[in-house]
Amino acid sequence: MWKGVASVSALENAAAKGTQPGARGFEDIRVGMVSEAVFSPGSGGAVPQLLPAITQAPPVRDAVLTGVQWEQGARPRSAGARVEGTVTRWKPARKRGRGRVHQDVRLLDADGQVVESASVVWDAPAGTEAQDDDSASRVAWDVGTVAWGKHLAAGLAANEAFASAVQTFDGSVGVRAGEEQVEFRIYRGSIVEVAKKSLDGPTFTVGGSERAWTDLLSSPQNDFVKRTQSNQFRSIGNNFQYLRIFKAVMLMVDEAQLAVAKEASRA
Amino acid sequence: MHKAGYLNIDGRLGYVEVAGDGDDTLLCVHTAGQSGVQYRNNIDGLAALGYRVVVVDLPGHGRSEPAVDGPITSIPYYADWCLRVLDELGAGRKYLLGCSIGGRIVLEMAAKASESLEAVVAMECPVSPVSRSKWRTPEDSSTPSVRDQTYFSNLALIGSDVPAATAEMIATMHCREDWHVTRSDLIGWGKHDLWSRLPDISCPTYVISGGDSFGEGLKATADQIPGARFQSIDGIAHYPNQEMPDFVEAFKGWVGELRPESAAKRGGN
Repeated sequence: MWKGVASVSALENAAAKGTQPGARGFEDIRVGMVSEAVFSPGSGGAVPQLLPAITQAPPVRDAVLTGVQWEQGARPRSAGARVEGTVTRWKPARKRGRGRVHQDVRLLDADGQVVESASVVWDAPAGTEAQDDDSASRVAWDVGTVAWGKHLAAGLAANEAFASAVQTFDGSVGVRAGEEQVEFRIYRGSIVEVAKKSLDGPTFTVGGSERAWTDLLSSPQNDFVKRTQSNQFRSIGNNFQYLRIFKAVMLMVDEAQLAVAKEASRA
Repeated sequence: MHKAGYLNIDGRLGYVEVAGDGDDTLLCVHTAGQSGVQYRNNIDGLAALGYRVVVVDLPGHGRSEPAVDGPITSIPYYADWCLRVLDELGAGRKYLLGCSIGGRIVLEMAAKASESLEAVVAMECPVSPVSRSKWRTPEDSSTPSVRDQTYFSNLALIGSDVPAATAEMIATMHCREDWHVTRSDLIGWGKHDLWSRLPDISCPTYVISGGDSFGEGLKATADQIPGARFQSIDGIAHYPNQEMPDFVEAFKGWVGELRPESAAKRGGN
């Protein structure tokens, strides 16, 4: 799994024993952190099996569950053996002194196939310094936000290959990760604006789950095509233009991976 | 040096490259949209095993002229064309090697003419019980940036163990294609109905898959062929003969399993 980031054990034993984990605080959370626990199914084999395990195992101390999107996996009838939670986003909450942690939680069977999965949002106590955290180490992972988009655009500004790839493009490219979307207004080889919404809307949007982006940005290669072929990402909107400037999309992914790698090397 | 020339088949010139002068002929068939250049790093090694190696450019590919009716959308057409090539060249004992649609082509040849074949190695060519007949026909107006699509999609078809420089070379070489021909090849692949005829194959057959590509998913195809052997190779994906530095040695081993009596006389390293 995720390399270079310490694994937290917040879920460990909790699903089976029902204890409060809370071994770490909000300030220790990083995207890509993985927690694992052996899963002991409840009596009766009721579906969903995963939800009780989630509620018993917050990723940080005193976190409160605020949202769950649950769905069946590839093997919905299989017996769960292990719960795996991956942090996919963390950010300050609107309320001072609070933070949000997003997790992708999966119940896996003995073969490692997904039985159930859920996108989970937690509200947790956070230090006041978290409120103003626009550090590159956080923003590099915060895909789909304007802050992330501006960092990406700054990185691409001097990229001649990118400029060449979009030399004949006049439109907007949307990037979506979960519920967050940012749009890059591009004209004659340059990104001229990064905004939550462009005036005419995106020409096309490349989107995937937060977990899909986490996996892509932590991959040693730019294997976006392979991941698209396995439906982790999709484009919506003007598919002709998507194909026409596909090289630019790949260069945007390159730049996003580079930003993450830079932050990892600094850590 | 290799010998090369053009055969006139059905009124059009087909390009054939030959290396080695063995009594046994090994026919090598390339992937969709590509050409025999895919075997440039294997042909001498295969010839050193004692084969007369025949590498074809299918009609409309590489240096071969297009077929009279334009791009081909039929795997059986290609199979018949390859059998014609072997007849024209007066092949003795015949061995077949193909990758992707080339794999389908050699399996189609085996389904038609097993009695005349010594052994077949078919790589990266899953056959499904249900053929996909509805593929879009090629239209320039609907397919922008074909070069980039070809480049990036082929990079995604190369195994995780392949050095970056090799992967770059494979993907770059693929960009030489005429995508109308490639698309037509894939239409042919999509509608190719071979599953029910796989049990007709009676010659020794090896089905090879790349572990990073079809992997164990190709075993069902091998299981449908009486006595066929199967191997999935870790770290390799869709182009084994271009990805594996030891491909010739691996091929020698596969044929040795299929034809132990012939293995003893093979040279090579």
